[in-house]
Amino acid sequence: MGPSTGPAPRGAVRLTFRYEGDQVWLVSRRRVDKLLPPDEEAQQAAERQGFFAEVRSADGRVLDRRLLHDLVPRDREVFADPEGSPVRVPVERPAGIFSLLVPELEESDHVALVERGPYGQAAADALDVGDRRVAANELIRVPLRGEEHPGAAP
Amino acid sequence: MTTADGAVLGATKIVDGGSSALRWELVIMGDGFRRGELGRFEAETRRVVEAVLRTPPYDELRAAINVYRVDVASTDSGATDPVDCAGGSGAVKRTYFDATFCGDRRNRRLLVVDEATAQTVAAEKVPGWDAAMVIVNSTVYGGSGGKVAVLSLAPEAVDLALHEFGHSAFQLADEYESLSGCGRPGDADHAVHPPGEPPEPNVTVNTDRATLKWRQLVAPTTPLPTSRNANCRQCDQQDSPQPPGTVGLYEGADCYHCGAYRPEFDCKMRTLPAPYCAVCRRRVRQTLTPLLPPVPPVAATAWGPRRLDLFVSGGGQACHHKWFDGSAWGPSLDGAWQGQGGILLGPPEAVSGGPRRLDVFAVGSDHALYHKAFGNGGWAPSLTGWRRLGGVVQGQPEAVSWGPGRVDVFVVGGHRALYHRWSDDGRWQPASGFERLGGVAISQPHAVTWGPGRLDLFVVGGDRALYHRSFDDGGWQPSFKRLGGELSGEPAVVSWGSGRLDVFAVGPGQVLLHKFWDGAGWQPPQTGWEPLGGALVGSPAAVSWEPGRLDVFHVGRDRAVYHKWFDGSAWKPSTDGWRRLGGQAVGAVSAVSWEPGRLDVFHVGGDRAVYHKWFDGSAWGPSLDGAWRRLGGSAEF
Repeated sequence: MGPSTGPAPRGAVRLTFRYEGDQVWLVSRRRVDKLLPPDEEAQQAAERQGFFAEVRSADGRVLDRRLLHDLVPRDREVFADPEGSPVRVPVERPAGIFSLLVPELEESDHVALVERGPYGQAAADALDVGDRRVAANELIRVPLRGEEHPGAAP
Repeated sequence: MTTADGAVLGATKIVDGGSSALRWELVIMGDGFRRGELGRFEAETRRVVEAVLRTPPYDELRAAINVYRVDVASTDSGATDPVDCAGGSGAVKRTYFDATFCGDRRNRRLLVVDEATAQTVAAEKVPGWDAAMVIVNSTVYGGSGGKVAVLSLAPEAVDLALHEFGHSAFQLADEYESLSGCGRPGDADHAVHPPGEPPEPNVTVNTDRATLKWRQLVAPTTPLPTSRNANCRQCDQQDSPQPPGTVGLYEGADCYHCGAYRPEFDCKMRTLPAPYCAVCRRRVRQTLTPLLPPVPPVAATAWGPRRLDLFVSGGGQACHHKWFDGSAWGPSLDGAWQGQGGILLGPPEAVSGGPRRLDVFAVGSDHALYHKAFGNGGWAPSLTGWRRLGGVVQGQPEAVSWGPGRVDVFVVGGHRALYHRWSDDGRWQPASGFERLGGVAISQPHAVTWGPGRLDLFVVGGDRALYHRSFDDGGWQPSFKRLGGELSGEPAVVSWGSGRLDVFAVGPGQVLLHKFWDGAGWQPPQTGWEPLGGALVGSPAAVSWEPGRLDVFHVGRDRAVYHKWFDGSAWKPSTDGWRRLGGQAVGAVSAVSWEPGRLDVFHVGGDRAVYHKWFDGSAWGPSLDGAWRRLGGSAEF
């Protein structure tokens, strides 16, 4: 019995998405020769609000979790003063593309983009202070097995 | 204005930290540069990259970073500058990424590009890109963030890019306390942060010292909260109540006046010219440190007095060899290295079991382990040939020899378990493959022997503690023993004689930790470690020239090599002090000793050449804190 009985390092997958408002579509899925260390902060932040990419096994176990900052931005930073703080201006129609890298693990089955707890004043009004039972909203689920997906939005 | 307004000409790797698969990769593209202006784009890119790599903590992590310049020629020079915004010139420019000021039709400083096209080009040229930037050919100050950082040629715009990397590459939140700007219309509406802990590492709504995200960085004497905003309808007006750099809880963050806290009074995620705060620096380090080269790029060994053999993965990822025979370097001092074939994934490993005997191991492009040996005056299977030992190896091998004819090699394999093969007089055992030793390693294997029949194997486990398993009396201990620690990087192990083991590793705060086996037990006992100071980037190297003597080396945050030694009674220059040996290392340091009083230290410099410094028993050559001797080569790792 030797090392060859285990999995080879399998690299990563680059997923590219298009978003418009609250809708998110997969544009492409491509394998990349890249080894991704785990995101330690995301493991600790699992119960916090925000956006996460979760690589899961076929039975739903989370194998890897990555923190995603401002996945679908509703505003943009303006840097009016080089010596001061930026400000944010609203985006009239949130739309664009984003891409992310997730590790290709032995048991990887799919990746889910998850928003835990609405992140804003309206949602805060509906939550009690200190309530950590944030709701998880799965924005999209993408299979990680099979042929690469070269692109095509619905 | 579309991609028809120009062409992507090509990509050039301008900062080479090593293999694309193992590094953090930044892609810099240009917009609004005509073909004849690409020389300026190249110069501006160099200026921006130098500024980024001078900025802490990127300055100490450059060995983990690759930077690519993507040359894109546009039809027109400059950027569109609509008159919708005050000051706009009305210029309309046909550029590849459609760079335009006044991106929201209100703020001229909002310089935007077609992010979708920029991300597509980045992925086409650098499939594993982690962060992307577009430099726009205009000296008007402006820029924007999002999925791609956009900046103009204005010198201050570099800070803007560093702020945006905080968001896009390291998931940092804004630490400023207003959405629309302090005192501006709408500012009073962003009074109190909504409940619920934000996911980003640098803002919080939690004021509990025991559970605070950055509690390890807060001094016990620092009050929490450290500052409060007395009027939540406006930005906090007070000066910092603490000296700069004091980590605590300062109210006002994440675009809210109250209810959210930032770690320091100021930070680049709050105001652009400020340095990153300690928590943001920690996040960047946390992301990039695992991408630092895990093992020294130079494998150095000495089979006896006045003999050195060096091996690196060089041009074409082939193994390259240089040796010192007591009078001169072969094949030459600062010139060619001897090509030894192969396609290596990472640095080779070398060990000598005795005079005129070398065993060299490397992981091939198929992730299998390969071996070649020097003995009887020649290389086997040939100078450029390798023998395949099989397996699917993660990372680099570790080899030790307890005497002539015997070599043991360890690798991390499937499920990050440890595997072992050994050779007695040229016969590899087990004949069928590898012996499984178990464990779950997040480090490379590290092994040492204090004599025939004895092996000691160390790895960092999944809980970041050190684990040890020994081979004695013809058998392995039943399992790995936990030696504690909260370690990062790779440990270094050395034995000065029978019954003695010394282990060095990097602990919290990048401080060197030490633990030793004195023949009866581990000291400090159980899971304790002795701190030895330093601020390590990467991993230490340790060597012993005789019983009672230890020499330890590491690369510091200024990329210089540092040294400390144990003379049998005390650490010198002090328990937590280090002597600076200079140099500009981009990977970990290697050290070897061929006899008492002799040290030879090697590192790879920014030009990828190997550099050498030696101690002859009385002084360092070529000098103590000055030049190193260049041995040439072009190391890849």
